[in-house]
This record gives sequence, structure tokens and C-alpha cells, in this order.
Amino acid sequence: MKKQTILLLLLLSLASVVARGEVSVSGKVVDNTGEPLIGVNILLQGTTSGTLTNFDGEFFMDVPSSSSVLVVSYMGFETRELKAGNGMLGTIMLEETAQNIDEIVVVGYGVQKKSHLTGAVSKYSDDNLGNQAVSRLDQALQGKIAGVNISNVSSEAGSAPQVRVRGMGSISASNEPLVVVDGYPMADGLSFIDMNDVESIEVLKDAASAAIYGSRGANGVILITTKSGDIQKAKYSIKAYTGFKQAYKLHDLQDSHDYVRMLYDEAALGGAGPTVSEKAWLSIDNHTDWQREALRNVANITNVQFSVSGGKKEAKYYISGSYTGDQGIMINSRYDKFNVRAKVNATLSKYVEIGVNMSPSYTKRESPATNFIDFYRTYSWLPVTHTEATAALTGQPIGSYAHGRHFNNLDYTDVDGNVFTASPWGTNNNNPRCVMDNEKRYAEDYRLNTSAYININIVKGLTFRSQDGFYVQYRDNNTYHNANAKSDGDANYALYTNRLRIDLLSENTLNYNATWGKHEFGAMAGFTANKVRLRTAGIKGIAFPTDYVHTINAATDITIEENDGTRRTYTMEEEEMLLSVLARINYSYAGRYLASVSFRADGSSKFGPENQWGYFPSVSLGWRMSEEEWLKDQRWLNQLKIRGSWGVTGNNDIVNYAAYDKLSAANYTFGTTNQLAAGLANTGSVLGNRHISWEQTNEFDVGFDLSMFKTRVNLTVDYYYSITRSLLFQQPALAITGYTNYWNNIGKVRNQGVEIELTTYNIKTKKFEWQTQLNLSTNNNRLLQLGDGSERLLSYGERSEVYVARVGGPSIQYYGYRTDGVWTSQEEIDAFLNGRAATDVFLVGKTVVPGTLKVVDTDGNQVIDAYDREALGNPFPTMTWGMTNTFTFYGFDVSFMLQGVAGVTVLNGDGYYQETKKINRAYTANRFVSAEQPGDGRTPTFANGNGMAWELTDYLLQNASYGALKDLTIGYRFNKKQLRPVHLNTIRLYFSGQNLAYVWGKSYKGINPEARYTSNQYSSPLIDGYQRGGFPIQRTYTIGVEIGF
Amino acid sequence: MNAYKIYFAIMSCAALFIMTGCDLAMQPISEIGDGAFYKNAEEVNAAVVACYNGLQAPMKYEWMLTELRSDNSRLHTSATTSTDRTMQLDFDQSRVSATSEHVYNYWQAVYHNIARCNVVLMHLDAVEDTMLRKQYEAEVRLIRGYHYFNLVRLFGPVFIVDKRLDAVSARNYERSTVEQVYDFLIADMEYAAANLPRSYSEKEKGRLTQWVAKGLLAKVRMTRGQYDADTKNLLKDIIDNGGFSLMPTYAAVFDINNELNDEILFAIRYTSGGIGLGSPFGNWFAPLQSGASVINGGGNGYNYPTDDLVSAYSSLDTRRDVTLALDYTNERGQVVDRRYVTKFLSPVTLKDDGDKDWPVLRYADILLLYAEVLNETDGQEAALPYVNMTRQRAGLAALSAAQTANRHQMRMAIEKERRLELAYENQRWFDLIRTERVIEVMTEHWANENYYTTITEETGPIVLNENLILLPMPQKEIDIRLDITQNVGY
Repeated sequence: MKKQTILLLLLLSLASVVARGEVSVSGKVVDNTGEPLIGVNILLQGTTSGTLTNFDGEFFMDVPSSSSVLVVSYMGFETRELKAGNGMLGTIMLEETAQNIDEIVVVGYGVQKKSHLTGAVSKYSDDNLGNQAVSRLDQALQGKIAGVNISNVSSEAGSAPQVRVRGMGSISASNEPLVVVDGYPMADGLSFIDMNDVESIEVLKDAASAAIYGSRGANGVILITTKSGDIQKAKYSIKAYTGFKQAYKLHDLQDSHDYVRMLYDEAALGGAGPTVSEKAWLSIDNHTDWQREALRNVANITNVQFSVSGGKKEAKYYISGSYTGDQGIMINSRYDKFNVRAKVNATLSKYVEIGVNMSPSYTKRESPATNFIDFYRTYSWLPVTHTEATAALTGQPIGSYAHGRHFNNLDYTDVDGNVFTASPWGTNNNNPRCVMDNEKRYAEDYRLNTSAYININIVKGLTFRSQDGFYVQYRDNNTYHNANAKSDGDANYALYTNRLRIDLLSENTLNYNATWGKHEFGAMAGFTANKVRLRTAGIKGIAFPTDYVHTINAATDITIEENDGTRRTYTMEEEEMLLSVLARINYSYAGRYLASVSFRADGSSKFGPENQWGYFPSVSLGWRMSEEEWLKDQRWLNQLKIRGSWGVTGNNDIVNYAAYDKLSAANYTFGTTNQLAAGLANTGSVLGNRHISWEQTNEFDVGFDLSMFKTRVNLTVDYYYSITRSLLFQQPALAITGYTNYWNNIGKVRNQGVEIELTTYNIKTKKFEWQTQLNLSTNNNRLLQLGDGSERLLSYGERSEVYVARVGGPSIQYYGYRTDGVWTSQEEIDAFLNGRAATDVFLVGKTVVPGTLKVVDTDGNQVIDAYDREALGNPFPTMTWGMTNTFTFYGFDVSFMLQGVAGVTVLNGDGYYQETKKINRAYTANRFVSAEQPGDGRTPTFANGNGMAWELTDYLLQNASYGALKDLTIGYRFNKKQLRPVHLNTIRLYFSGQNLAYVWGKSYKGINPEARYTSNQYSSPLIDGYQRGGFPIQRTYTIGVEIGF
Repeated sequence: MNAYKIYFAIMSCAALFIMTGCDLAMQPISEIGDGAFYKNAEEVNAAVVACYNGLQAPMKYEWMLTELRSDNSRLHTSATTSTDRTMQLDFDQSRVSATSEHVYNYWQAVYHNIARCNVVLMHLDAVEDTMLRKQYEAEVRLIRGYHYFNLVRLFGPVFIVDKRLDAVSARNYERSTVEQVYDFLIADMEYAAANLPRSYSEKEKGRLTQWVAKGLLAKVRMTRGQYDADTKNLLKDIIDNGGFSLMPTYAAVFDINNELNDEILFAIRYTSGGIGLGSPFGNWFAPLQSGASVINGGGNGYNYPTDDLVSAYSSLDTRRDVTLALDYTNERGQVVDRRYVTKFLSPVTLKDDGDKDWPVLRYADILLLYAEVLNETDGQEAALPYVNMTRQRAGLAALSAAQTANRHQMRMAIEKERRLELAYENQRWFDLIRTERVIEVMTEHWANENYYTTITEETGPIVLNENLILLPMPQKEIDIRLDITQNVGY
């Protein structure tokens, strides 16, 4: 079938070329000050043929007849339409617009005029994007686009934020949107693209727009378009900034001396008083601020970018290089990024245009070996290295690492002068700073994306385009762990893994555009093939004689597999293939009535043999009411368009080979000489499913675009309703099958919401401008069906805390016990027991005494058991918003960005841990101590693990909604007069601050409401909202300069 | 530009496209898709080997579900904030909850290996040699029977799975009665006893023999109270015809250089060398904070010996120092008073990668079972010589007839002997269940061991009642299928 399609294309291409050209038109385009405009688009109406103005603003072209209409358009200016007449058009003046409603928007496999868009596509472009002091593009986009929710789940330098477009549709497959850079889909596109290279970002939000990406469109599509050269003299640009970072907020921790004194004070009022080991804390004379030990005094961030662009009619170029160095505020956290981009395109003749786009990049990321929690749960009596006093106490050398166990089995003196023996430390663990200093982790990424295209104008209006390329990604991971790093006796090892991903892509499309009177018609058809080959390798070396050499040649032994089944020394390969046929037709009548239909068929190797092909249609309609006669004369109205769309998109983002039970090694040894016998079994935890197939999202979207008062007020509102069915679902299996999960297509999820984007030019005079951009979006997620008649599905986190996906509720809800404060007295407990034994009434293994959490008997059977659990809240925001205000006056520019989320509940794991609760004032204040000191009646005692140790209760749930002043920038741009002596075109200096202020929910007890656990079980789409030990928010201050010449 | 050039350009693009290949049928490259396997005896044998491999996983948890619940071990300190150890406290103090991760992990690991066994049974037809086919069937059925014997003793009524289950049909399975589970596992063991070889070549030593099937069958019968001639004959057969003997010393039984010795009927094998087959128990049981002075990679301090067990050994008993140590010497030459189990200790290069096998059934066990049966069927005098065999090897004087004057005294003597001989081999809990002495022994133990006194001051006495002898059904299973009944008391 493939070959026939190709043949058809070839036949089409052989159609002959038509000669034409009757009137020669010339003219000069200027702005309202008379300055010539360079690179203005001059287009023959209804065709794609046209030209651009030169350095002097002049253009020359041939048109068929004197009645031909030329469309003169330029970004930021009102478009004009002119009859060719005799061809002498003279000087054409364009009026500057507040906002260009007729800008070009990139959509999948093509571009469209914004005015003619029928889907929900958000466009974002910002010259200052690269000036933000963050190292990744996705971090820079937070709060900028309605419906795109970005959360910085980790403050580590270079780590990926979570990106969601219109909520969460999948429950087992990935929810990450598809990222397409200059037409090339690349999963990690947001992580390494240089922000200064970005021309625009378009987000295809509704299914009708995303359907052209078919099986990968269900989570939305983010299109990144990089800058290209224009017809102009070489334009050089240098941008640089540098700055520093600090922690926005730290935990309010108690010094261990203060803590023990507090216990003594409380003992006087009926509290239990310090334990033996707590008494010992008091006699160790040391006060370490462990949070500070995890952080750098000053963390730097630096960025330099250089670019040059320009071109002539025949060839245009854009070349840039940049470096970003980003130190995390944590020690051993650093991200370095080097980017080069070279884009060249050449017009070879009237018929052929070619171009190449190359972007090599290198990033190196160093990650800390210890989580922040290990620092802030360490008591302040423990020094990092032994001081004179602790050395004397423990007999360890001064200046050597101090570990808790050195303080065990020693004699201490309490406040009353009694000598006693105590062991204040209970684990093997070394102090966290020692762990941090003795393990190094580096990840280096080498990427090369190269693609070339050829555009052939076959006949008038018909273009063939082929874009072919490859994307090679190579990652090197190196870890070295010194001897005795984590604990005494800990062996050294080195771990090396690499990953080579080769992605080949060929996209071939045929475009046809035509106009017949009032009918405008555009069609696109194409086929694409995408093959990905993944190779990974790893090796673990152990028993290094010294820690001086970190490469594995120095190891004396190699580990093939760990005792827990983790393979360490291996090479692995995987392949995947995606074949697609796609088509789209756009039609408009009189510029008023718009319609678009598209279709894509995708075949993927990931699915079962019978279910590899999926089909993704879409329809969208638009009505530009403002073009109707009865509205056309309304001067205040620039544009009003009503849109509606429906489309189907899919999700194929699951592991390769899910259709099979995969057999791998399960060996054993026989014989007295330990003969290895080869065994083979499905050793994993997932059962294969022959019938596994696509996940499908059906989405409706209605919206309008309104532009008023000379485009001073621009409003876009969308409502969407989507149903995702046949969910790719890693369904939990009863363990009696021998497995814990299997892949299935089952269940149904609904997402609906509203998105509002408002841009206003509040004040626009020559000397003062004030612009406001506001975006706001809501999402409501409901699980409609789980399949098999199941009503709910439970998932488990690190502490076996439970997340429920329950039909009729959000896809993720916290599932546990509701509490009603604490038991304040034994009488209250006895009344509930009513003469029964505690073991028959309360949960097995939990001790219920005054001060422990009072669990609500939700089913009213007078017994507290697993059936009393209920849904306690969910991690989804009800609303996310962002607002940017920009002021420009006398060369100064001031902008600030506010961003926030509302309605988010997090599960703060700190509440589980004795160590983190005890010395944290957020948990000790107002707690129950004794009948005399009952606290606020809601904060439980430490004793007996709250009475609900390791069970999820609503006590751990906190409101993590926040609003933040994310960015404040003050800049000054020198004017031309000032710059004349230095022969420069532009200089702008600016100062910028990030994460300057936060407001968050009263019940939130952590330090970073955006922090989330995302590794191990937390990578499951059905678990979200858990935080513990997140690094602090980074507050950044930078100064920067932009120079153009 | 002419038409020819355009044609050429488009042709080149098309060629590039075709060369990328258009095949959507992709099979795993680095693993084997199951459809392509189990085609001959060799491949079925690989599946059988995988069932032996699968014996290892449940062992990670079995000691917690048995030894830690018994009077042989506890935690060193109850004042722990470590998650790992807090969860272990629950086993030690008879308050295991249905959400216990370890209970689920054990359950899952056992059923996973049962699934591996069932895969072999599905593909036996690929084995042409009848003898070999029977041997493979018998091997995996005995492994399956062994798993069910443990399951039924720990959980009571469980699910009988005798074929490869998919997730959907699993939802229609019901718990069987204890009686049905025993019938099922006895059928497996009897088939194995009838069809397994008496021994293997030196190269294949370690595979299951008919003696293992007979020994386990005897234990099953005794667990069900069948102290009769049939049980006696099963054991007598092993003693007379099995070719097993006691090693000259207790230490020799666990000698790392002489594994699979004449005393071992069935051991779960571990092999070090970083190939994923090592034993973690050397590290797990070594003392916490002992650095590299006991074992490379340090210890976790699990399975801490109770005062009660330590004092049960007489000073002459050579078994104590093989089984456990009372202290160790750290790098600085100081002697640290901290007990730990040494039975499974062998030197490692990589943490948790020991070489020492875990004996599941050994000749000493058989002799003591035989004594136990004889005591009930033929009286204490008949049992006496068999109790004394292990005693005397341990350097103790033989018990006299006067010391075991009646059946009860003999029962107590055997119970103690089994405890000392088989300490930390995960037998104690099952022994106490078999003799129905578990509540009595444990209640007394919690009252007498000092360690528990401070705990019970706060929380009240630790309780073990009839209901708590069985473990709960894992909550995760009930969470998937709400109609699964929980064991009474949870």
C-alpha cells in the first residue's frame, strides 16, 4: 500500500510547470514614521506566491493582471490589500497594531493565519524569554499559557518540571505532551532548546488541532519554532546575564538543646519528658544547622548567547551558540549546557527551496546523592566533623566526619548531674554531608538533531515538501561511591550506564492552496515514517582498592546482577516503528465561514499484531462574525470569531513489547561445584496482553476570539470536554496470578475545563505603555469507568499510603482515615470502647492513648477498621493562572509576573516521620503533650506514632495552593542617539528577580508547595501529590545585558 | 530546473523514506517473547530451573513470618524510628496488620513461583522422553506443594492455582478450605514421591529427590495430627534407604566448603559472584553499625537472638557458637556486646551476595520428626535414641530414660532439641503450631524476656490468640477484589 502512495505522488510531481506574469509591480513599504520596513510579506491574494521587501523596504514582483490583489502584511502591523493597477504602487504605509490578529500560527505540518484558525491553539512568543534565569525552556514557560500547567516538582538544577496540557487523560500511559521542534517530534525538546533561539511556541490544545499528530496527540502538542534568518544585513546579538540564588524559605527547626529543654518544661506539666537518649542530646555541646550544610552559600547562574542572522533573497541564515551554567542551591547540584544551532535555507530557483537545521548540544548535570530530608532530619547535636568537644567525648580524631554511632554507648551526664549510658543514634547511616561528599553522580547528554528539507513548487499552488532527518541522543551516566560513604563498612563501587537513541524520521507532504472567487481552499496530504532504536548498556565495578581512581578499569570485580534482581552489567536493545498517513483540508468562504477536517492513520509496533493501526479524524468549524456585513462597520470591533471542534487523538506512550510475556534469565546452581544452570521465566511483575491497543481521546472544544478597540483588548475563551476511552491501563492483578499488573485497554476518563487568555494594552502612548497578559484555566477530572465492573483501584506509595482511582471521582484521590482531632483523655477512649477490648475495636497494631489521632468511624459500626477509609482529597489544581504586566517608559521597561495554582492538596510525608516532626516547630507547636497541655486538640503527640503510624490520615494532607511573584524585571534600553558614538544598534541592561514572594495555604507545613516525589512508584500516573524532603524554592537575582549591532 | 530534476529530487526523498523500513511487526530483541519458547526438553528444563530460582524470593520474608514471630528472635531495641524495623516490630509483637508490606511481598513471591511451576506443567508435552517428562512434572509439583504447605500454615484457607491465570479469570477464583489445600498439596507431594529419582549425578545434585517428597509428606501428616504407621514408614524409609547421615560436627553441616553434604535433603541454593543468586542473610543478620568487622558491607541487625534462646543452650552445646555469636570485635579492637545470627554468614565481596545455602529439610530434622512420631506411636523409649543422636553430636550427654520418663517429658525434650538444632532455619514457629503450643510458649516468653517489659508497660500485654496465629490476607488483594474474605481477627 505504501508503494502505491509513493507512485501517486511521483505522478503528481510530473505535472508540468505553467508560465505566467503580466504586470510588474513595485513599491516601498514604510511605517508611520517613514522608516522602511524590511522583510514585509507581499503576497498575491489566494496564492502562496509572493516576495519580501529588501533593505530599503522595496519590492518588485510580477502579477497575472492589473486586477490582481496584493496582500501586504508584516508582523505587528495592520495588513493592507492593494490592487496591482498599473504596477506603480509608490510608498505604502502600514499602521502599527496593538496586537497582530493576522499573525501566522504554526500548526501541525503547516502554518495558518491566526484569523483563520478553527482549533484551540495558543501562541506564545516573547523576545525576553531567554532572559529568565532558569536553565530550561519548560521552566521559563510556567504560567505563560492557558491550559498548560507546569510545576517545578524539583528545585535541582536542570531537572524536568511536570508539564500537563488540559489535565490528565491517561492513568497508566504517560501524560506528557508531545514536543515538536521545527517539525521534529522529540520527547526531551523542552529540556535542551536554547530559549534565545525560540521564535514562537504554539500549543495545540484541542483534539481537532492535535489530531494531525494522531496517536501521540492526546496529551496536547507543543510546537517549538526556532528563529530563522531574514532578508537583511547581518544582525549580531549578544545576550548575557549572571546572578545568584538562595533558598526562599527553610524549615523552622529547633536546636536539639531547645527541643530537650522543651520536653523538660513539658514534663513539669504532665508530659512524658525526654527519653534516655534525648537526655544525652543535651549534654553534647554542639549546634549544627543541618539545613545550611546541604546548601551552597551562594549559587550562581550564568548565561551567554551569541547569534548572527541575516540573508539575501537566495539564502538566509541563523547561527547561534550559547552557554548556561546553573548551580543548584544544593551542594553537588549543577547543570551546564552548551548549544549551537545553524539554520540555513536557500532558494535555488522559483521552484525549489532547500534548507538544513542542525543543533548539536551538550549538557552535563551533577545531582546530589542525598535528599534534603536527610539533612533536616539530622539533629543539631551531631557535628559534620568532630569538634574538640565531640572528639573528646567520642575518642574520634578532631576534624574527621562525625557519625551518630560514635555517640552510642557513652556515658552522659543529665541536668541533675546523674551519669548514665545512652545510645542516641539508631541506624547505620553516616552523616548526610559525608554521604553527599562521598558519592558523585553525573549525567552527560550529547544530542544532535539534524534535518534537511526540500520544497518543490510543482505547479501553482501545489508544493511538495520532504523533511528528513535524524535525532541522535547519547547519554552517559557515571556514579562513583566511595568506601564507607553511606555507612561504616559500605563498599565502594562505580556504576556506568549509557543510552543511545537513534530516531530516524521522514515526513513527506503535498500542499495545495487555491482561491476561486470567495472560496479559499487548502489541502495537505502526506505520509511519514519514524523508526527509533534504543541501545542501553551498563556495568558495575566493585571492590576498588582505593577511591582515587573512579573508572571501572580499577575495579577488582564486576557485578552482573544484584541480589534484588537489578541487572547491572548488560547491553539491551529495543526498537519501535511508527508509520502514518495524514491529510487535512481547510476551506473558507469569504473569509467568514471556516472549516477544517483532518485525518491521520498511525501504525505502531508497540501494539498487538491485530491492533496496530489507529485512525484519528477531526472536524472544526469557525465563523468570523466580525466579517459579516452587519458587524463590519462596528469600528470598536476588530475581530470576533466563534469556533467549535471535535477530534480524536491517541496515546501510545507505553513500554515496547507490552503485547508479550517477556522471558528473561532466572538461573540456579546445581552440583557441589556450583554449576550454573540456565533458567528462563517471565521474571517481571507484568503480564503481557496480545490485544493491547490504542488509547483514544475524543474531545469537543468551543471558543471565541474577540479583539476590540483597535486590538487594545484581546480575549480568547475556550471550553473543552474530553473523554478518553480504552485507557492503556496497567491494571493491578491479584497476586495469585503470580504477577501484580497487566496491560489492558479499559476504562474511561473525562476532563473538562475553561481557558481564558486576555491581553490588554491598557495605556499606549508614545512615552508610556502598559500591557497586561492574563491567563487562567480550570480543569475537572473524573474517572468514569474502570472496566470489569470495578469501582475503584488503589495504588501505593513508599509508605504504603494509598491513592484511589474511584469511578465518579478524580483519577487520583488520597485514600485513608478521616480524623477528628486527637483523643484528649482516657475517658473519651473508654467511652468509645464501651467495655470492649481495644484490640477488638481499633486497628491491629495501633496504640490508642490520649493524644493520638481520633479516627472517625465513618461506617458507624463502632469499630475502626480498613472499611472506615475514604477519599480525602486530590492533588489536582482546580485553577491555574498567570499574569504578566509590562510597563515601558522613557527607555525603561518594568515587568512582573504573578503565577499561582488553587485547590491543590498535597500529602506531606514529613508528618509520617518522627525525626522530621520532632524538631520542626510546624509540628511541635500546639501538639498534645498531656491532659494539662492538650494543645489545640488537633495536633497529635509524637508517642506511639500518632496512633496511626504509617497509615494515611487527613492529618497529613495540606493545602498547597499558592500565589507567587515569580518574576520581576526592570530594564533600560539606550536610545539611538545615545548609541551613535559606540556604533551599536541596541543595548539593554536589566535586573531581574525570580521567585520573590509566595503566599500559600495556612495548613501547608512544608517549604516548597510545588515539590513532588516523582521517582520509583511516584512515576506512576495514578500517584501524585506526595512530597517529602523537597529542596527549597530558589530565589534568584540576576543582572543582564543585551547588545545588538 | 526541469521536470527531470524535480522527478529526481522527489525520487530521492521517497527512497530515503523506503529505506527506513516499514515493518511494524517487532519482536523483543533483548528478551524472548513467550510464544517462541518451550519447544523442546532443554527449553522446558530452563523453565524448571526457573522454578528453583523462584524459591529464593520468598525467603527474604519467610524469616519474619516465622522466626521473628517465635521466641527465637526479636529486635535489638524497640525504640526504633526506622521504617523497616518498625514494620518488623509488628511481627515480633503479634500485631501484623493486613497492610503489612512484608506479608504481601511474601504472598506475591510465593504465588509468583507457583505461576512459574504452572507454566512448566502447561508445556510438558514438549518433552519427548517419558522419564524426563515425569521427573520435570514431579519436581515442579513438589516445589508447588512445598509452597502450598507454607501458605496453608501461615494463611489458612488460600487460593489453589493450578494453571496459568490471567488477570480476568483470577477474579473468579475463591479461597479453598484448609482441607482442600492439603488434599491438593498432598497429591502433588505423593506424585513427586512416586516419580522423582532417588539421586542425581554429581553435576545435578541439589535437584529434588523422592526423599524430599517423603520427608515433606511426613511433616504434612504430622501437622495434621496423623502420628501413625504411615508417617512412621515414610520417615523410616528415608533413614534406612536415603543414604543420608549426620555430619560428624554441627559446624560441618553449615561449612561453606561442603555444601549439599550428606545431611542435606533440600536446600535453597545461593551463589555469590554478583550474578543475582547471592544470599542477603549474612549482611541482614550481622549486627547494625558493625562496619566491615563482621561482614563486608555491614550488617542490618535483623533476626536478633532472644535472651531466651541464648540461655537455652547449655555451656557444652557446640551448636550455640555455630548458630549465633554474642559479640564482635570492631576495627579498633574493641569487643562490642551485640548478638547476631552467624548460621548464614559467609564472606562477601558485594553486600547481600553471600554463598551460603539455606537448608529447608535436613537429616537431623528427619531424625527428630521420627522421634516425635515414635514417642506418640511406640512410646518415649523408642524415641530416645533418635533424640540423642543430634544431642550427642552437639557434645551433650545423652538424655537418660529417667529424664524422659513419660510421653510429655519426651515431647518437651524433642521440642527443645528441635529448637536448638534447627534454630533460625524457620522451623520454630511451625513446630509450635504443629504441637499447638504456640500461644502458651509465646505468652510465657513475652512475660519473661526483659526486653518486652518496658514495651508492655506502655501498650499493655502482647496478645496472641487463636485468630492471630494465622496471618491476614494481604489488604492489597482485598482492595482489588472486595469480596475476598479476611481472616477472622483482622
